[in-house]
Amino acid sequence: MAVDFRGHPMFAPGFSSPTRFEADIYDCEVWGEIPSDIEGTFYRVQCDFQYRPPENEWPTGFNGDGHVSAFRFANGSVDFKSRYVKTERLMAERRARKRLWGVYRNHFTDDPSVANVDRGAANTHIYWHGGKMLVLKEDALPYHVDPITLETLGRWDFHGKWTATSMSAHPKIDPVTGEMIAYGYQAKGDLSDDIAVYTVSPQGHIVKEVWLKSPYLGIIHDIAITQKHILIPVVARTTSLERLKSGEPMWEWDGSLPTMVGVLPRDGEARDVRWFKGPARNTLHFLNASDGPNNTITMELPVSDEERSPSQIKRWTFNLNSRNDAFGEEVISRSNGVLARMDDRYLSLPYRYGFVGHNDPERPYDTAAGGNRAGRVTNCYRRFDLHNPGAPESTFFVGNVQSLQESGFIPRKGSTAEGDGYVVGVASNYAEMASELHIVDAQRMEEGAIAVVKLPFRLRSGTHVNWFSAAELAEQRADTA
Amino acid sequence: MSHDTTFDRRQFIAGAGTVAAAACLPVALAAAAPAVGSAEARATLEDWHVDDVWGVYPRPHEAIGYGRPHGDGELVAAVAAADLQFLSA
Repeated sequence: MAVDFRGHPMFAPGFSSPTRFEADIYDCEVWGEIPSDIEGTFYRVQCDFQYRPPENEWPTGFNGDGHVSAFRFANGSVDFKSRYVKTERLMAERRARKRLWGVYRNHFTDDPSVANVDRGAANTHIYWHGGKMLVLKEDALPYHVDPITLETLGRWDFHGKWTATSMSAHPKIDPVTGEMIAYGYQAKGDLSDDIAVYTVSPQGHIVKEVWLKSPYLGIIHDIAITQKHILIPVVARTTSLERLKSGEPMWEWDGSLPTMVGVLPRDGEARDVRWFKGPARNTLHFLNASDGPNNTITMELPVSDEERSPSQIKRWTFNLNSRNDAFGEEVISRSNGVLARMDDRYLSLPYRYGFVGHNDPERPYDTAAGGNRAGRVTNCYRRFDLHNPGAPESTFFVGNVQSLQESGFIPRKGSTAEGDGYVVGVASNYAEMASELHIVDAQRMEEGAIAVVKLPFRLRSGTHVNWFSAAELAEQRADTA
Repeated sequence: MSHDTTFDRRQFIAGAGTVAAAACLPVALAAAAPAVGSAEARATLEDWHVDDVWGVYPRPHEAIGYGRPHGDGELVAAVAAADLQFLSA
């Protein structure tokens, strides 16, 4: 039976319907001038759907097939390439010419023919480390792809040393040591309460492994690191065997559960972890953390206080000298986007600036040209200042028919000053039914994009992005060859 | 094909910030926001959903009610006569 998405509740006709193609564009159309010091590749991942999922699929769309896009910058020009990650699951479905996997992370709903096929969709995030371009999905091991051609090279188990059954999509790369701190949860298979934390050398070898028990079976989508610690938040999105057997996607919100944050010394063992406890908070992605004075740790993150309250940027403070298990909480910014990024050269270190999408209801939206988005647009990127909470935030407004996806940060060549560089991100242009990459000077965001890369087609909403300079890509290839 | 169009896309992008279009924005975020620096809860939003925290916003499964047919006057004026057949009415 041929593919037919009509009538599926997740695929209303329009911008977010599956794209299902791979593309190459040599020398993209660019409006404006791309700074000549931008040399490297902006990678992004989107969930696309080769085949129609079950009707009760999780409406986030995060059970789609992994699809990598790359904008390659050199000499003021940009080339574009996109490829599906040729996962075992995608290739099995292509052979069968139909959907074989059920709803999100529920193997009870899979076709029996794929019981022994890897379920990894490689659809969430992309990292270059140890000479491998890893494409990640938190319920499976990563795939790696060629950073230039994007062709899939296979699954990657770190030379056979990754013993957990999964690797999260949010490892952290220490800019000082070059190590990658990575982890898997439900690390002994679906519904297990095990967490495995790994330290991976810059050359891609596992040099440390610690196994922990999660306080409860909650999602552990992201972590944060400092120079001394690893912070492991467990939030109130939970699951159970009963839920999976009922045929529903894995997660459901349970606001009665606490937020638990494990603090593990980077040089410690399982016995050294300390769990802090707070009220339920709806959050998944964490900006950064750093070690402070008097044995404190601060961590900044977008977070909603309740299931249905808007996001804002907060700081959580953990006092390792305290005798109770509470952590402090304060608002840093009212920016309401939930995906915050930073100058990654300062990851794990004291820092000052964060960049985040924002829905500004005061900005215009042209419903005649862009369709009725009913205000559901991320129409700004904002830079917030941790040293001046509440101060007016530098803002880039993308336009009145667009919505922005997660931003990345490109350091200005030759500059080491934090935040000196470019904010880049893909926008959906609803008037043109096409996507475009906006490049914004991070020091002058109000002035608008200095260049816009125009694609002649649309990309679905992306999950996550990362920038890797040409020098980084070349150095690691040589280092790990 | 003429490039002398009445729809200058470069100007469109550059001028987007000044377009006085009626905003259809129901989310009154600022109204109930606490002072920065406090930890007060903000107002609950009627249309907020727990899964919005994944960052896909607008939600991928929501339809876009396009208000602009492909053959509107502005676009028609910008294309060559031979290409009109490719535009829907």
